[in-house]
Amino acid sequence: MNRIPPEIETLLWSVAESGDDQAINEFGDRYPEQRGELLKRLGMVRQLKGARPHEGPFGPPRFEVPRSSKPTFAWPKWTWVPATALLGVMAYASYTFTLSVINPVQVPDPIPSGVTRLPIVRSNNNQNNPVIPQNLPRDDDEPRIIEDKPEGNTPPVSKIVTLRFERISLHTALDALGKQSGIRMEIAPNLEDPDISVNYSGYSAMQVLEEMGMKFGFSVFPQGDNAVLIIPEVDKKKQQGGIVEPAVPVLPEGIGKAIPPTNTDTRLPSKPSTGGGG
Amino acid sequence: MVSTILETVREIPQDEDARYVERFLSGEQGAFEQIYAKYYEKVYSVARGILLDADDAADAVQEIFTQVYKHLANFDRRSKFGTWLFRIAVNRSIQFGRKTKYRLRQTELNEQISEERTPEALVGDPDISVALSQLVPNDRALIVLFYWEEMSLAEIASSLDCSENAAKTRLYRARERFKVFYEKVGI
Repeated sequence: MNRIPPEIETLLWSVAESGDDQAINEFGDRYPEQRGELLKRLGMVRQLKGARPHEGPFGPPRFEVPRSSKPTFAWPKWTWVPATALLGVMAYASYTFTLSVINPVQVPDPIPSGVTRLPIVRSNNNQNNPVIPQNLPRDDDEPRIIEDKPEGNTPPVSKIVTLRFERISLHTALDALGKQSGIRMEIAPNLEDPDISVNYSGYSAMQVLEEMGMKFGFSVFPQGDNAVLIIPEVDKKKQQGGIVEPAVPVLPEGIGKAIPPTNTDTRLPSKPSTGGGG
Repeated sequence: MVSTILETVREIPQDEDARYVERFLSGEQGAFEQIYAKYYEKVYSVARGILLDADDAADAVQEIFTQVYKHLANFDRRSKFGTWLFRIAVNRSIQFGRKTKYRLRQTELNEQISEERTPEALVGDPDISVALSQLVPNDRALIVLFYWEEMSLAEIASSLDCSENAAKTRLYRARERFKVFYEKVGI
């Protein structure tokens, strides 16, 4: 069987569906070889159209109103957009509110009044590492933190504090601790400032500081006068190999004496690399 | 100001169907009966063409009008009421067909009846019924809307929720398949 070209195929259907005698005759004259096909399609279309069912002599049956007789009200489709947006806003507000209840955000001032930033003094041979302070106290020095008591009965270092932060910079956390306890923080400028999360409750300010020091790599030196010096922890491995690795800045004159903890405290350098002793 | 514009818009004469819809939605029950009387035959014809069974078609029509009754408030008036109604009619009839087919298969399995179900003959040439029964319901819907309801391609496209070009292509294929089956039956 020869395949009918698509354009003639389309024409065949159009003529058969129109049922127009003139169009049928014209098609027959133009494509006499397709006359048989046209007649077949004409018959098929007529039969198909004639097969349409009609309702019976009694007309349509009675429509039974559904039990829930009132038509249900429905919001127009476009209302989904603002509704979804509103839902999103409510979800976000709820999330923020819950977060603030569970974990109240305490954002202290960037540099509170009680915190002193130390200037960096760099050594000549190593531009990247600051020099260890010359006036670091010797091991035999007594801690002097008790000597300077604040106005209240409890010294700031012993003050019970609560510190809860999620993803906050280390410096900000230290500043907050300083503000809360009354300790004046002297933070070495080369102390790194990573984002940290802390949760301390019911500990003294000094305990919190020491714990944080162990965790985040810094040493705490009580300076008296409600002040503490915070310097980055020295790399112990390098120290053991005899390499001089200055890691803390030179304290400018006028800054109080730092009192190191005992030798058993592994967080501090066993010996100051540049000797001295003030 | 806005209310004046709305009033003006409302006063613009609308087509008969839109008026029926408005009246029904404002609480006039009789308006729906007028819609039902006007469209029953057309909807029945579509359902019958798709389902090929008079009883199933009658049941499907009741379902279709129940759906329309319940959800008339959802009719967004961007298209003609008739187009919206036919869309529901086509979709519900196809769904009804699937449901009936499943039920029938279950019955046959239970009763171990293996007889082939023959389509109920339509008016005129019985070959038409047989050829239609060979088509898938979607093809039957296209044939019915085009040849029985004499809808334009644009109206068919709206009723089947597709583009006019898609409707044209699908109709062409459905017609070709119908022709093949019809000629086979006639041999």
